Amino acid sequence: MKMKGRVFRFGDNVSTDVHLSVKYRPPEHTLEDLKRDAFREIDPDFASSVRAGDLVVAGENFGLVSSRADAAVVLRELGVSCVLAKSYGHMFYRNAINMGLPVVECDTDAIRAGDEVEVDLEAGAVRVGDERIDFSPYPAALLTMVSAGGLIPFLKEEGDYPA
Amino acid sequence: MGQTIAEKIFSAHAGTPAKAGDLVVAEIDYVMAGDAKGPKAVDIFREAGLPFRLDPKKTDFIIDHFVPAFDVRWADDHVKIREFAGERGLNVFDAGSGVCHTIVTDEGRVGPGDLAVGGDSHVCTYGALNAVAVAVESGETASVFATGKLWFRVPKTIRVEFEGGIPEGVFAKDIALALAKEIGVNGANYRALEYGGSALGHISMEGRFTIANMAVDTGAKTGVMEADENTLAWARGVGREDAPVAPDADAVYERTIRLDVSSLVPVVAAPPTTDNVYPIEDYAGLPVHQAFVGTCTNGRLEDIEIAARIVKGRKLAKGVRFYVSPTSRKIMDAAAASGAIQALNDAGAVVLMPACGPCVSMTGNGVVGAGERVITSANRNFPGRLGSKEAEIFLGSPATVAASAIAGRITDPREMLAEVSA
Ligand code: SF4
Repeated sequence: MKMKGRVFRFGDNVSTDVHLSVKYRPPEHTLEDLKRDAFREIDPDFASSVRAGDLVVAGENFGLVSSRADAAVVLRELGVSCVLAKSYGHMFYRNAINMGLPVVECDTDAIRAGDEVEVDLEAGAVRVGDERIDFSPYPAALLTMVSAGGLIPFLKEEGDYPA
Repeated sequence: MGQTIAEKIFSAHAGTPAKAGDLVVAEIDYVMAGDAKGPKAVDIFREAGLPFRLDPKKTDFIIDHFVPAFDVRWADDHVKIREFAGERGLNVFDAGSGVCHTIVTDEGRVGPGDLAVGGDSHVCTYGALNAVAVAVESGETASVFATGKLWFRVPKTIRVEFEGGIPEGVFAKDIALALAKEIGVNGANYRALEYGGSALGHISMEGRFTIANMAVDTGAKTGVMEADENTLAWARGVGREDAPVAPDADAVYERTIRLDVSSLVPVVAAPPTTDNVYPIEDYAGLPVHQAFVGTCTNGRLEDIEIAARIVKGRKLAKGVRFYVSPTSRKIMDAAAASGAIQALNDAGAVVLMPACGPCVSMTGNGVVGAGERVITSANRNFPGRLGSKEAEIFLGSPATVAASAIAGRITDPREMLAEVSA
């Protein structure tokens, strides 16, 4: 599974509260409301300028704190193809893969806003210009899961992990 | 390259050598489904129309949070659990059996070398048995019902070495809190803790459960202890014979923390977080209104007995409520047989049924009002956890809690312990 797109760049400790702040949320909200306000605290233009295939790149502890699966779903629904960060909040990492949003832990220091990057989950490689950044590749079962849209859709479709 | 205990356990269950950072799909030995998140797992499982392929012996539903059910919502959830389990021949530990994590460790549901998951933050308690246990979401529990497996990212490991002798009046809870302070509430985010060192042998299995229980309160995904004779004796005692897993001598750790337990004194975690830990003398004298010994952290026989020893022949201070919940029916039995229950009752404490009880306000009992101060043997002290955000929650060892209940103020247990043993 390969992804290619432009980079939206964030720093360290972007918690799910920052990237999906409850502040803007109407009491009765839909996924559309949440999408509109994604990253509003740190990049007010994000939701209007992100295009299908774009990537979110961050530093340490992306998605820290909360266990809200929304935080991953919103990015997937906005068309974000992949998240790259140096480290993650435990629950965000798991929720993302379970919700069909590929996330990769790798060194992101060399990646800048607006860069065109290519990610190959199977090979465990990020390409930025001539640079190659390695990461632990996705095993086949997880690639199938992510392509199916997450854990439950994958189980409905495939029934089980491949032997 | 050498492997840590967690790397070995994940490798064995994935059937492929794995190191920190690798993604694997692993066989699950045990899944704990509770009454807080279990009902949602049932809903997801049913809605997705998945087949149940997990060996029914590898799971239990444990009803412990909302008991006795105090709202139709929870009663309906319990009905759902019993129906689902009944249809599939799954075991249910029903209301009054005890707190989920105590049941799992004491009934031999998990043993050394196992990989367990469960729908509750504190499943990491099983790590004291030399197992890897990870908290999962309801959808993940449903997926384990369907496949017997789950995907994992193998965590990096932080090694914890306990060294030195344990001073009088210092308990496993003090060690757990001292470690929480050292690491910080999120300092071990997504890591495994691996505990060992010369002092581990001096800590009882009950004490080890207390320490492993609080791994998650440093942000860790799991905490796993080296196995020794005590571990294996415990495992055999509950019908397990699994092979223990030791780390390789050249295992790679992200870092090593050395904790000299001989330098510790009784401590409390003051609000608002579990790592806000200070020697008890810093807070000694502050009035308390509610005291609680219980929970998956500190509601075992050893904990009930030390509390009973301290209150025996004394009376609670005026204006203090002291709740005690032995965390399983077996512990209740043993505490009754030893006279601990009688001593607590005589002193004015209220002995509650084996359940989560006044650990968190969602369980619906023992909540506190504005301006009240609580001293508890639980694992979390966030404002609002026990009702009013205007109440303060302090964490301490069962001895500290009992001494404070008698004195009516936060109290160093060492003085009362000295009198008791004199
Ligand atoms: S005793 Fe408290 S921390 Fe433990 S499982 Fe029950 S509610 Fe959770």
